Parts: sequence; structure tokens; C-alpha cells
Amino acid sequence: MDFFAQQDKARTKTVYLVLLFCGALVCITLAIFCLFSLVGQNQRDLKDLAWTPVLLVQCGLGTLIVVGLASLGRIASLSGGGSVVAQSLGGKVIPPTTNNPNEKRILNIVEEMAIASGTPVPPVYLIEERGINAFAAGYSPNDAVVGITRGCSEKLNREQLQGVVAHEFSHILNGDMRLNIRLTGFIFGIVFLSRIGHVMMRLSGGSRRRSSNNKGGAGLVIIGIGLFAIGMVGGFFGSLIRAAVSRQREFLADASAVQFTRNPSGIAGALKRIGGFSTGSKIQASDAGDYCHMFFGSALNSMFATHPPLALRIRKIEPNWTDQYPDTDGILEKADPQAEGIVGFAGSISDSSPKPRAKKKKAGNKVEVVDSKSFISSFTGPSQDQVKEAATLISLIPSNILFLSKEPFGARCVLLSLLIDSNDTKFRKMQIQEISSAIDQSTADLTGKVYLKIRKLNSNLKFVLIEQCAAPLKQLSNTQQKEFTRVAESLILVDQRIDLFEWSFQKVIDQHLQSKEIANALHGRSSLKSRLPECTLFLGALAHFGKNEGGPKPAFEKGFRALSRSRPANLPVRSKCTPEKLEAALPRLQKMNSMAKRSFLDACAKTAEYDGKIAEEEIQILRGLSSALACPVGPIIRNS
Amino acid sequence: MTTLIVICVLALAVVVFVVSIYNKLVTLKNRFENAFSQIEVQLQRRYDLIPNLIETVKGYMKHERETLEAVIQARNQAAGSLKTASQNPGDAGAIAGLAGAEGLLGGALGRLFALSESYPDLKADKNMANLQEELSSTENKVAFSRQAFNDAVTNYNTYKQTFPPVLFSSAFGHAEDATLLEFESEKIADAPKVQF
Repeated sequence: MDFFAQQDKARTKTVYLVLLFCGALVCITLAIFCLFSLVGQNQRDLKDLAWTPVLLVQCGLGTLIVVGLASLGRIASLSGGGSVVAQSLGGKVIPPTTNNPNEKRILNIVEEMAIASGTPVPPVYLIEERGINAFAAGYSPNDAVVGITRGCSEKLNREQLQGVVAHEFSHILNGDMRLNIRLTGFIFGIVFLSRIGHVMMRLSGGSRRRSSNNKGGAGLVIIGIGLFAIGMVGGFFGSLIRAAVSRQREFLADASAVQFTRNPSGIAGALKRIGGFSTGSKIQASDAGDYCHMFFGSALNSMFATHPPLALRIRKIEPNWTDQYPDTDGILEKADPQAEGIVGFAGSISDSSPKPRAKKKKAGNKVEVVDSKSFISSFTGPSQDQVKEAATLISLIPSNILFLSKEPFGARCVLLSLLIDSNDTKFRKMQIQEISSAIDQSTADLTGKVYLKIRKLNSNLKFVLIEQCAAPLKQLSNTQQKEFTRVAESLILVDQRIDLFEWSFQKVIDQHLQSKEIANALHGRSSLKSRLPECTLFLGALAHFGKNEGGPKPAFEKGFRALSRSRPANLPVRSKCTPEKLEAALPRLQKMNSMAKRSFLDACAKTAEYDGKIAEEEIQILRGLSSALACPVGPIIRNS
Repeated sequence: MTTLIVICVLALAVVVFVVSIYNKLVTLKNRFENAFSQIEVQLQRRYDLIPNLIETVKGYMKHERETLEAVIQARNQAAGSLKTASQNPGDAGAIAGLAGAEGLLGGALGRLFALSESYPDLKADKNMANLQEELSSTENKVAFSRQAFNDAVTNYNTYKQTFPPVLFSSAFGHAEDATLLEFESEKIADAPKVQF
């Protein structure tokens, strides 16, 4: 599975759906035209209009406007972000500081999966339901949330939970949520017609009682009944289509879950436990019907099943399955508090005995150059290696720093501390001074302390830390966010220059905080050919900063050949490859279409990996670039 | 016929407009309620720390039972108010109750720390130093999340008082303004300052 190909496929599917919807609109228009004409034939003031093109055009316009507006309204109200959905289902955010081992386990799994796939860590909601179920909601990876039921957290073991979470991440990465929201909106628009019909029936029913001989009233009733029927039939077929699409996406998500975790028994085991559970995957919340397509297992039983039958799903993963369900009612999984790293009082920064979170702890934070296995694999959704690597990377970060990065105040200090200059004491003093005057003394103190702990981390870990801080950062109020960006900027500019790390830091934070222009970047149309000079610049920068043996030229050419075979490859001079120049080239790169972005990032990976090693600067450029292009990229895997 | 279509379209436009106001009100309300849950997490952490603090201090301050009991009582009261407030963060009474209880707790803690100044052994206790640090860092977090909550509340109040939302806000169940959370008494907004 490939992130770009999936996004493209989802987009093509959306185009089909829009065409299908247009077809439906034409049919509805014709039906309404016939309806009005039939009614109009018998009425004096409408007689001339019946069966004329003028009426046809009027009906078409009316239908378009009514259905279109209703659809847009519904889509807008559904696009309010994942948290709205989670809350309307009665979910509560699991606080990152939770001491409940089962809740902590879910948070850890979600965190590992997010870091492996390079998306911001989504907030996790716990829903107090006995059924085993989970959902992902949100319009884009940036406002996505993951929801898990209480039953899910207690009836599944760690690898099964991991399968479920991977399934949900596949929905997030594939853009399924957006597709579903649009479909739901369209269907609502069509069904809205029947509501209008209903209102007309009731209105004219009232007026008829007063003057029984009113022919117009009778006409209105017939039109009302007609509209009602048209809306209902349209809605019926719309729901069938939506269910069919949704079932396909479920199969895809199951397959992706196997791919992310390389562990078919995880997701299959979870599905089996649902099958063997008396409550199954049922959700009691009254709003569940609206959101049934988002869940892991089917929330309701109806003929419009949004999910394929359980047995079929299991058999697709395990063809040799013998139709045996475990007795889930008797199962109660308890997470191991030690392994999940419950932090009691160890959260304080002064605490001297941080508990290691993973069992194995690797030494060697000071890796200057990391060996890379394959960077390209990062673009195709997280691999099993990356999920494992994410857990290792998290374990390399001091646990008290991780603890801090889970709530807004600490996360802000951690992010600011990443910007503190490690070479020059003079600048460092100025920066701390700046924080204490722009914010307050306690923030400055904490930032200084955090800085001492994180200065030795390599870039790969620093970006993991930034991803960790992203979710709490979004909980800042607008005023606080503005203050943060302002202070961050002045810290960056204290030495009068922007280095590569600072540049990519800004790109990643921008993506998480405002992401307006980055949302636009999703809808680029330009071809690769028209953006070749900008691409060349980035490849040149990667080649120059790559510290390759044998100079930058061969690395650059390897990447450039992936972009264009016909044109001559002219390596840009090093002085041209500054963060300012890269920044200036970005807006044009963002306008590329997604396949062009894919080829470009592939080329970048080829250049970066040329000598089998990826330098710090290369990680920084790649991270900043992928953030700016809104293409999630996981951590770079080291050979160890 | 044309008039009917025009009327339908106009009515629909009005409906969409009103629905968008309703949605925005709900979103803003959710936002400040979410912000309150942030405060809740931090305050809860503080309340969980206080029994440990008392446990540590008790061994040294044998003759200050009254002060210690006052802290425990204030802590329990504040924990109770927090529970009430978290049920409905939009309720003015609940928020005021929490603010008052927090003020009392801050005062009691302040007296405890002032007294602890005269116990050199206590000052040297490593556990005590850790707890102090932990408490003051939690205090910072409370202050920060309180600022976020107040910003969200202000946003909500401003939106529902402007025109046209003001026409619909009470009909949609948003009659009451949400209340800002201020801990003004006994300066709890600042971290308790105790020098070692």
C-alpha cells in the first residue's frame, strides 16, 4: 500500500462519486419535472408550463440549489473535527498522565503508531461502552482523533489492540473519513427533499380542511407526496452506495493493519474476540447511527451494513480459520503497569531515577550519522520496522522529558528548549532572557532545565519529540498560540540567522498549528516538469549537506536522474542552498500534484541515501520538506 | 411556481445560516469545556500530591496539627468543588465555588510552607524538596491551562453576545454566560514561594 497512491485513489473515487451524484441529481430533476408537469396539466395557471423546457430548467435549478445547499450545510457541520464526533458519542479524553495501566497501554500504542507513520499523535477518547469497538474521526490527519471503547481496552491484549489501532490509522492515512463525510452530506441533501415534501403535505393538509374545494391544495399534497417519495428512494440508493464503499474501505483498512504490524494474528484475534463476545461490537450511544461507518466493527445491525460480515473479514486475513470464536465474556486483559511505564512521581524534572519505558534500552544518543535502510518505505505507510523503531526511539528520550511533553505547559517549554543555541553561551543567555521577559520566569527556568537534558539528542529524536508536543500544543488558546509562535521566532532570530534545524522546526510547527496554506498544498495541480528548478535546489542542498564521500555531485545526479532523464543535471552551488532559498522555493513546490510530490520525495530520498548514511542536516531538510508538502514521513530507521 | 422556488431557496438559506450559528455555539462551548478538563487534570494531580506532602511533613511538625488539618480539610473541599465544576464547567456557581475553595487551599498551603521555614530538618529532607518542586511545577501548569480556559470562555461569551447569534443563543440553550476562573484570593495564582 502506498500513501500517495491511496490518496490518489481516494480522490478518483470521490470524482466517481461526484459523477454518480450528478447522475442522481439528473434523475431527481427528471422525476420532479414529471411530477410538476403531471400536476400542472390539470391546473389553469400551470397548464402552459407543463412539459416545457422552461419548467425543466426551473426544476433542475431548484433541485440543484436545494440539494446542494443542504449537502454543503451537512458537510460543514460534520467537518467540525474529530473531537466533536468523539464528544457526541460520549467520549472523554484519556489524560496523557493517566495511571490506569489499560488506558496507558492504549496511549502508548497510539503514540508508537503515530510516530511510525509520521502523523501528529492524535488525542485518544475513551467511550464507556461494553462492546469491543474503536473509531477514527476527523477531516484530515491534523484534526483526527482515535476513540476506543472501554470493552476494547479490557477485552483485547496488546497485539490485538495494536491491530485495531493500525486499522484506524489506515482510515486516517487513506483519507477515508473525508470521503465518508462527503457521502453522508450528499445523502442528507437528497433526503432533505423528502423533508420538504413532508412539510408541504402537512401545510396543505391544514389549508384543505378550511376550503375543501381547493384544487391548488390538492396539487400541493400530490407534489408533497411525490417529493417525499423521490427523497426517500434517492436516500435509499445513496445509503446502499455508501455502505458498499464503506465495506471496501474496511477490507483495505484490515489489510493495511496487517501491513503496518506484520502480524495477522493481532487484527484477526481482535475480530475473533468480537465474534465470541455476547455484546459484540455494539454501541449504545444514541448518535451511533450517524457515525456507524467510522467504527472498527459494525456498531448497529441493519441491512445497510457499513462493515462486511465478521467471518468474511477474518477469513480474508486467515484463510484457514476454523470458525471458532473464543469465549470473550470470560476474558479480562490487564496491562502490565511496569511495561507501559506508568510514571508516578517520577514526572518531576528533578527526579533522578527515570524508569526506562521499554525493556531494552540502547545507548548511543550521540549518533552523528545514521545508517538508513530505506527511506522510501516511509512514504508507503509505516512498516513493521518503523513501528518497532518508534517504540525504541521513544525509549531513548528521557522519560521525564516525555512526561513533560504531554501537557501544554511542559510541551511549550520542550519545544522552546529545542531552539536554544548549543554553541554560543552569549546567545543562550539572550534566549533565556527573552523567554523570561516575553513569557515569565518559571517558563524560562523550566526551558533551561529541559535544554540540559535534550541538547545531546540527535535530529531524528528531536523530531520525534516535536511530534509528541504537537497534540498538547493544539490545546493552547489562540492567544497562547500566537505568543508561542512569536517567542519561537524571536529565539530563532536571536543569532540573526536561520539554520536548517530552525527552518524545519518552523515548517513542522506550522503544519500542526495553522496549516491553512498546507491544506491548500493538498490540492496542487502542477506537474513535476514545471517545478524542476525548485526540485533541483532541494536535491542540491541534500547533496551538499550529505557529507558524501566523493563530493556532492554523484549523489545529486542519482536523485536528479529519478526526476528527469532528458535534461542536463546542473548541481547548484553550495552558497545557493541556504534555508532562505529553500523557503522561497517552497510555495511553488506545494502547488505540485500528489504524484509529482511522490516522485520528488523519492528523488530526495535517493540523494539522501546515496552513500547509505543520512546526515543530521539531511534529516532536517527531509522533515521540513515533508511537513511543508503535507506528506507524513516516519522516522528514519537506523541499522543497528 | 417561480415564487415557490424562490421562497424555498430563501428559507433554506436562512436555515443553513441558523444551523451554522448553532454549530458554532456548540463548537465554542465544547472548546471551553475541553479546556476545563485540562485544568481538572492538573488540579487533580495537585490534590493527589497533598496527602504525600502531609505524610512527609507530619514526622517533623508534631506540634502543628491544626495547620495540617486545615490543609487536609481545604484539600478535600477543593476536590469536592472540582468534581461539581467538572460536571458542568459552564455553571457560574460551580466555577465560583471552585475558585473559593482553591483560594482557601492556597492560603492553608501558604501557612504550612511559612511554618516549615522554622524546621531545618524538614528543609533538608529530599522528599520534601521533590514535593515542593512538583507542587510548584503543577501550579505553573494550572495557571497556564487556566489562561487557556479563560481565553476559550471569553471567545464563547463574545460570540454569543454579538449580533446575530444573540438572537438565537438562549433559544439554543446557551442563555447563561460562562464564567472566568480566577483564583484571586490569597494569591494562589502565583506558585507558593518558599525558599530553601
